[in-house]
Amino acid sequence: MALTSLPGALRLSTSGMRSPLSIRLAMLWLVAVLAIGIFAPLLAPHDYLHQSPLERFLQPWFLGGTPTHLFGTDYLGRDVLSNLLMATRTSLVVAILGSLICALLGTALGFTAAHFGGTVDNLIMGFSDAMASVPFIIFALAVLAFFGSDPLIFIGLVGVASWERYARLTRGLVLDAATNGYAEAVRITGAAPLRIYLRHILPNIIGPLVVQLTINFPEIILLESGLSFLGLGIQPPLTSLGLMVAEGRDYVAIAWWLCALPGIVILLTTLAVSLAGDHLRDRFDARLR
Amino acid sequence: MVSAVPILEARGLGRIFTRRGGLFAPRSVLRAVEGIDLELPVGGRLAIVGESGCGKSTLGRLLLGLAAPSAGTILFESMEHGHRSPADWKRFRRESALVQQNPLAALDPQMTIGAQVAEPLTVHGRARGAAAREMAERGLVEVGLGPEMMARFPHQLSGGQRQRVVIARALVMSPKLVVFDEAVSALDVSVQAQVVGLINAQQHRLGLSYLFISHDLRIVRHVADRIAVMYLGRIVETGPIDAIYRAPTHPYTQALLAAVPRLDPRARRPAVTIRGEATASAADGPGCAFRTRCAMAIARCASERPELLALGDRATACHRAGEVSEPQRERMELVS
Repeated sequence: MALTSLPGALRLSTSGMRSPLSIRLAMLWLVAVLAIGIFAPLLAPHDYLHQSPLERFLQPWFLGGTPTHLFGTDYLGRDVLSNLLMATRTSLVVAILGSLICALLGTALGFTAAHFGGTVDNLIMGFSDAMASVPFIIFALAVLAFFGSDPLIFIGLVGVASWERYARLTRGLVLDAATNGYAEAVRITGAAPLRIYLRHILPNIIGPLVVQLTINFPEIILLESGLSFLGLGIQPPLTSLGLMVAEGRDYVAIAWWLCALPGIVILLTTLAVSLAGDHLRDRFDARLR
Repeated sequence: MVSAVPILEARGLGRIFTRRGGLFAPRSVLRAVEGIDLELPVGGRLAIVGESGCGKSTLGRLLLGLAAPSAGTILFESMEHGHRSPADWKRFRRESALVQQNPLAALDPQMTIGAQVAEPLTVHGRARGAAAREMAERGLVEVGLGPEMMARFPHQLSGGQRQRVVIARALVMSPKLVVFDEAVSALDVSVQAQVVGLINAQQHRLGLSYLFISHDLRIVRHVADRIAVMYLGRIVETGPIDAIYRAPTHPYTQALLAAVPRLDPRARRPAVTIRGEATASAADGPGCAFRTRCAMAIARCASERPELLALGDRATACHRAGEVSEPQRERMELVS
């Protein structure tokens, strides 16, 4: 029972049970991506913006190219590896900030709806229903077309992408937890609602919220990629995974790796987060009862 | 023994739950609690008994201000609940406590025992940090738990230990009024005895006034001086516990007492039995709510609701109060 004595998140790492290989590989990949996100400028062998027109479409090393450009070069002779590292960094920042905004906004609104009930509840939930009924990409296109694509606006935009799911989830969990004996027991001691929510209910519902986060995170990466692919997301000279796919698309017949390499990074990262999230949920479930 | 001003007083207390009528369902009204008058003197120990659904838990919640009454008034130390400002409420919360039915549900699964017992102290600004922890530890020792419990989580404790923790948390602020809502019902008999002993010891130590809500008549006599028997939201009989156990006058009380299991195998079967279930609809209309299950019911019981009539220091709401056959009385004595 020792492992159940630690609060939720900590327990994951102290579990005596070994995780399956797929989960360990996923974790390894996520750590690598995170490291790339932090150290990309140091890791990049070249300046990703440096163009050399004489070295366009060099083959990657594994296809018979030179070790100078491990992943070859693109249509302007820029180093693909350096570009990929920097693009991963951008996409990661957008996805992390976006998911955090999403989670905080949605959770706060969910708590608000559950606490006040009545009109406030109806208003927030009605709004979230409205959000869910419009494909977000259409909404995003409208906003970006209107305001232009500033990185901050872009992050804010992906940040509101799926707040309604957090709001709905949080509201349900809070309403459920509030009728639980422990919440009432604390209320009877005279504690203020904020204390009950933050110190008691939040730690009890954090599990499903973390899982929601791991579902949400890959979606935001895909949203960022999608919008950048359409030319409405990250704008050059900044680079992102979606933008790389978009730029590589024109040359897919002669240099398929320009599309494929960032695509593989997107695929592996979203897959890894989803796997890790799935695993996390199983762990939370096992812990709860 | 009764001091001048009761610590807790209720007058004409009622709580109605209405269900909004739907397209096909008519609007329905449930009278969970109706016309309750009660007085708890300082240091008083009042038991509220009745079968499940009789409104005893609702009554406890009303008295603690956790639900708003539909009718009547509640006074704690002469101050009406309805007239309390937020600051007055906070003071009332500091001076009152509830011990809930299910100790596992009443404890936050993600928080250590120590932090939970110390919490009321922090909430009311009496102590914080190390001082609060020390007081919590002392509180745990008072209820017979070691200091090693401080760092544990609720699921690591046994049922009896959890109930002790809940009691320790309720008592850590030295409240004046405690409502024990089925506080021992979830525990097995040997642990019940320990917790009852604990409640008595703490009552002596702190001079508590409390309400002990239970359906278990065997437990109640060990923890209370007075008893109030509820049936479908109303008090049908009340008085000093020994007198009521010796000679119950309401047929419902008689049936409850007769149904208490006892160890004597030669004991005859209960002379008074009741059949069926308490149906809320019986409480509507003019008559006595118990008449549908009462062996002694007469025509008058269907037309006129018996008032709770005082007789000395006890009171009964029955048209045929006191009409108990002699063998029946003997049975009651066996119980006491």
